[in-house]
Amino acid sequence: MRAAFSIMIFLIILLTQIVAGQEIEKLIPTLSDLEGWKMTAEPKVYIGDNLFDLIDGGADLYLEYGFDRVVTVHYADPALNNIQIEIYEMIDAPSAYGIFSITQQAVEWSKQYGNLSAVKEEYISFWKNKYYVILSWSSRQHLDEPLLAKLANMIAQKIAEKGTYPDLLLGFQVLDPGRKVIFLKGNLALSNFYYFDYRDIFMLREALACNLEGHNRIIVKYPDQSKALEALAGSKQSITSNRRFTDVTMAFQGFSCKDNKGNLILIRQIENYLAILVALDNSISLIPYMDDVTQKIENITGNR
Amino acid sequence: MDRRHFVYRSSGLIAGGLLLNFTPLRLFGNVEYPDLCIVKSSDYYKATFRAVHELGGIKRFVTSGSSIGFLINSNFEELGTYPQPDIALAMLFLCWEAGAREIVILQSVSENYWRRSKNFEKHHYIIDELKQVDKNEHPAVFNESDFVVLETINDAIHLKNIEIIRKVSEVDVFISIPILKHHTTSILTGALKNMMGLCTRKTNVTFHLGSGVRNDPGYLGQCIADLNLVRKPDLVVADAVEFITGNGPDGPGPLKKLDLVVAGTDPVAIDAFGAKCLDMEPDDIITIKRAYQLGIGEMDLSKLKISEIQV
Repeated sequence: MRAAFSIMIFLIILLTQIVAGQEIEKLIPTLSDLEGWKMTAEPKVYIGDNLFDLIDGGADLYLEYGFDRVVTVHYADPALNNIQIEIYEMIDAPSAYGIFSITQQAVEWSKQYGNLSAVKEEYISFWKNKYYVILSWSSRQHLDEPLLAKLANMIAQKIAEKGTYPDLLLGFQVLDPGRKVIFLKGNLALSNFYYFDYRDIFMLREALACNLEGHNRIIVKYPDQSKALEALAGSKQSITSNRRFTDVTMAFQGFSCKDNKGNLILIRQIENYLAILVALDNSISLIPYMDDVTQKIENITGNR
Repeated sequence: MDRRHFVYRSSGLIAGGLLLNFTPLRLFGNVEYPDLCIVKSSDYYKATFRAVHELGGIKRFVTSGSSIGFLINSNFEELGTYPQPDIALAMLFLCWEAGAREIVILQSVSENYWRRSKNFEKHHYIIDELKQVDKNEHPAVFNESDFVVLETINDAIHLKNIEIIRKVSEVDVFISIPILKHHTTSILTGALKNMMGLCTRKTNVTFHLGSGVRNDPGYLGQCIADLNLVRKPDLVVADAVEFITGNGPDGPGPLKKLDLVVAGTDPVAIDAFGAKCLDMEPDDIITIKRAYQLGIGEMDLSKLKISEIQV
């Protein structure tokens, strides 16, 4: 009886995975969408840790965000133009937003494709629902921008649901694509935005990060106030013993220090949050910005 | 070799070869070469020549009839994620001129990579004669003719049972050509991490997941340091020309342009300089610390003799 139950559970899991795999492959453009082109190889699906077989370095970041699977496909035309498409299925829509936001922080964002997209000359990426999609073009002949755009739209339309932005982002009401707000889900992501330590000194599980008005702003959310206080104490201890940081000084509900460029860093615990501000210019005063963040957090937590 | 190539080689010999292969200072004996040579130039080909010259010339490293293994971190598409091909081409040319018997590319390099250089055509005759470990292409899979299993590595802390390119232990001279750039997990990828290009995918995955803890930069850093115990490069020529400072190793990421070619024999020192390029301290990069602790090289730049040149 127990064995039959185990087999049934196994079959259900297997069936779920097969169905999910079929779904992601259905998002790939068919050859009828690409007249004159052919697939250079069958689409490949990489699941879980097998992502390391696709990405030569950098897979850790996807896994930190909650990677489920990816399908990748290559097309070529007779003139040796190549298109590569990668469709990443993350565990949920906020994770897809997160990986889009961190990997595309150097590129301008727009609403051209999916929920948000980043477009370069030979490259389109976007996120929609739990999918993060990258289309890239390599060519010996020419770049067919309308074709790449057509394919991006085609994939975006096949993804029926839009998905939701991270709750943390919605709470701060910062959904303007002109302001690139990055959703972090761990220390690797934080290190990709501003590097403190290879160890997870802030015990970071979810945070927002953005660059505005001459400073970097990082807001880390914790399950409760005691965790936030624990992270504050732990990070202060680590930063004090890190030669890259100097002038560690007590500040209101937190501390301040300077990084190796002489930039001021101000860290404050507010309810179940830590706000971390890093000045990018010595002339910037962080106090007014910290007060602004404090007010926003208190509005969210209902403490005001 | 046709006439065009002969003419080119001859002019190259005069322009870069004779001068670079023979360092007058050596006549006086006991010459101390710099530990690092940093050349600033917008001509990366010439900068590479000059860097090698400052280190004593190519003949300090390559004797006639020797076999050379090249490890070039070329397998990336975005600007700032791969070393400028001019640096690799200049090194190939120098080795060729020094009379190398064979040049083996230890990790597959595509023709597209070479074509990114305006010097591609005039080096075609060298590229055509390169031997390439074709099977060492991402994701590399073990085969007995190209790879060997090392069950243990002397003094290694974590690393064992690695699958690594056989040829790296067989060539007379091993030259590493990394780019100094950002990496998501190790923060910096440079000379030390470039060594992962010698291993199969299966081995490299153990660097990332082998500790049993996900996203463990400390374990990754130690594994990279351990790997550098297998064979230290005889010469590292690193690209600090233009590199990504975020979203590495693939990019796209914010670019920083310094126009520097950095050469030396100490991969720890090269990476310590790379940390500075990323506005960090060598101490910040766990791989550098671990490699230093294993005695692979020096991470304190103030203890090194550094030659800085602008051409």
